[in-house]
Parts: sequence; C-alpha cells; structure tokens
Amino acid sequence: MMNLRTCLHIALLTACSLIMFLVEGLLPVPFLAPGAKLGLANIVTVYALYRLPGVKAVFLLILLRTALASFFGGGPTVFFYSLAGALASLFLMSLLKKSRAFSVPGISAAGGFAHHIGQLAVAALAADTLSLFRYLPILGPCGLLTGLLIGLLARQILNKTEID
Amino acid sequence: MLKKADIVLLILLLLLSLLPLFPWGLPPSACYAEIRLDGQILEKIPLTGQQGVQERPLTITQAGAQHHYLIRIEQDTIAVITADCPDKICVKTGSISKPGEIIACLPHKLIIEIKTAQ
Repeated sequence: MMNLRTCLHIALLTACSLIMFLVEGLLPVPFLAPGAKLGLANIVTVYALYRLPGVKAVFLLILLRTALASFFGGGPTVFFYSLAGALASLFLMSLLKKSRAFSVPGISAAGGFAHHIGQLAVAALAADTLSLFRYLPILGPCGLLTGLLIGLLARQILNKTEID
Repeated sequence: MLKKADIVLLILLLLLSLLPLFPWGLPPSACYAEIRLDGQILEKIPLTGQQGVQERPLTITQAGAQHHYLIRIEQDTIAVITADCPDKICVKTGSISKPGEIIACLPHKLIIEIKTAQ
C-alpha cells in the first residue's frame, strides 16, 4: 500500500494532466498523420517519472489519466490505443532512466517514439495488417520531436521544483 | 543541453522509424485496392489503367449498425470522400495509389489497402 502523500501526489498529477489534455484539444494543430499530436499531458508523465516513488505510482497515474481522458473525448477505441502507447512509453523511459546515461529530454524523446510504436502495434493488431507501420516514418520523427520538446519543458519544471 | 548518449539514441530511433520505407520501394505493377472490414475482404477494385473519375457509395454493417462511405477512384488513386465515422481520419488521409499504402478507418475497422496483382 502506498502512503497518503503518494496518493495525493498521484491525484494532483492526474488532474493536472487531464487539464493539459483538454487544453491541447482546443489548440489548432495541423493534421500530419493519424495519432500524431503534441502530447502536452506527457509533461506530467515525465515529471512523475522523476518525482513519484517508483514506476508503479507512475503506472497508476497513466492508467487513471488515459481512462479519464478517453471518457472526456475519444471513447473505448482511443482508450486502448493511448493506453498501449503510454505503457510502451513508460516502459522504455523507465529503462533508459535506470541506465543513468541519458538526460530528461533524451528520455522523453525516446518515450514519444515508443508511444507511437505501442499505438501502431495495437492498431495493427486490431486491423490485422502490418501495413499500418507505413505511418512510422512520419509518426516516429513526430514522436521524437514532440517528446524532445515535452522533455525540455519537463526539465524546466523539475529544475524549479526541488522541494524535498 | 543534451548529452552525447541522448544524441546517439535520437539518431538511432530516427533511423529505426525510417525502416518501413525500404521493402515497399519496388516499381509498381498492376495494382488493386482491397477493402477489408475487420480483416475480411469486402471488395477488390482494380486501379491500374483506371480512366476518369468514378465515385461509388460503400455501406458496411459493423456490430448491427450501418455506416456509409463515399469512395472516389480517380486515375489509379483511391480516396474516401465522405464517411460517417467520428474522427474522419480516413477522409483526411487523402488519396493513395502506391502498393502498401493504406487508408484506415479504425472506428469501424475498415481498411483500404493498395496491393499488387501477384
């Protein structure tokens, strides 16, 4: 069982990332490829990776965020795609973080990339065709770029919140 | 800013994402568009040698509900013009013509894929 402090932290971060998700929905972003987006809510994910105690807590945060976000807009199909993406992203980011060789923006960029791999894998499974991976040459670099930007922002926030 | 390891990682992933470009770079032979619903082939439309513009409605039944699409075949390209799916990603994808290219309408599990004859 996790302590009250961690519970509260997760609840606050979930609320934060939901707001970011909803605000992003209001921004006019050009359509590049199916699934490509800024992913502002992932600023919270990257922050949580460094501030929450353990990957389990981040996992819980992601689960709550994805479920609530698809409730606000998207629906069940979108839920599975985004959950697969978020989990693939969390998996790769926590691995890279453990290796201690990479900085926050680098890890976040790899996370953005893994997000698309996870999403494409589930979509390919659902549609029963590997040809969906033809979108990877567009989605991959998109994920790297947005992930890098998210990582730079997250690092700023991490630097300014050295509380403990 | 970024560490050297970060830059190596970024370049590696960038190359990885370009990988799907290679096996499909073959010269085009006779192509057709395959329309699949949930993995099952509904229709095959020959594209190579196709003249003029042709628009045709497509109605699918998914989980008891009917969905309507309007498909345009022009020269040797195919596109979804209108659709009643929520996200309209199939319409925004535009027209496709090369083997392996696809239009995916995931809400209804509809896939249009260009294939070669052999």
